[in-house]
Amino acid sequence: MTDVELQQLRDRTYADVQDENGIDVTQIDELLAMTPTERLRALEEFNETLDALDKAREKFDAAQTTRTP
Amino acid sequence: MQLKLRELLDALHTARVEFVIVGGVAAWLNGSSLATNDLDVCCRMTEENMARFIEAIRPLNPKVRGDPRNLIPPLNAKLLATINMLIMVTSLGHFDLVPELPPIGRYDEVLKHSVEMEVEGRMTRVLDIDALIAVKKAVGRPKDAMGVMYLERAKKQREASKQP
Repeated sequence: MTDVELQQLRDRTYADVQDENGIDVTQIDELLAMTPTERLRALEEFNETLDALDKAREKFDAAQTTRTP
Repeated sequence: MQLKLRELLDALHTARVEFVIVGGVAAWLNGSSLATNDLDVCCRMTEENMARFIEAIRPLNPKVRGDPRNLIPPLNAKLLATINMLIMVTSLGHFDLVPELPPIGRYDEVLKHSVEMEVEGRMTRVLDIDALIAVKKAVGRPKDAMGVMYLERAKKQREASKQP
């Protein structure tokens, strides 16, 4: 990486990837580059991840509760 | 509740249900990156089509979502053809039947404002991006206003990518 590129990297902010409403344009471009099947699978994977996080949180909450005297 | 979209769509296709994907999944398929965890479909509300719909949902243990009595929806084509909306939780996730979509209208009008996409090897009707924007603007809740922002951005990105 050149010094110029490094400085450009340091100067980057969310404003470089978001529109005026704060929407990340790169995420939309990634979706649009996919086929409909790939988009559907990506949404399923996103939901699977959220589901796994929910389960992890429930497990954590349960552990916290049992420690409470 | 995890949404198993591929299995839900497979159930509808296998039962030969006439449907158009609307709502958040349609927005996602049109390029909006605002994720959703339920599937909304607009169906032709004839008894024949509702019989097919019942064939698709019966094995999914459907319950009326948000009802503390755990009510099972009427699995009767004649009755189902008269409902205004069916909001369900199934073994494959949250799944809603939307007979009418203001300001577009009922199934025939929705169909006219849909595009065909190949999803998992099956041709699937999906509400188009302009109709989605019109519907969200008509509903007008804060979450719909946000949905409009995402859809309008997706539309701009699509148009920009088509330019030479």
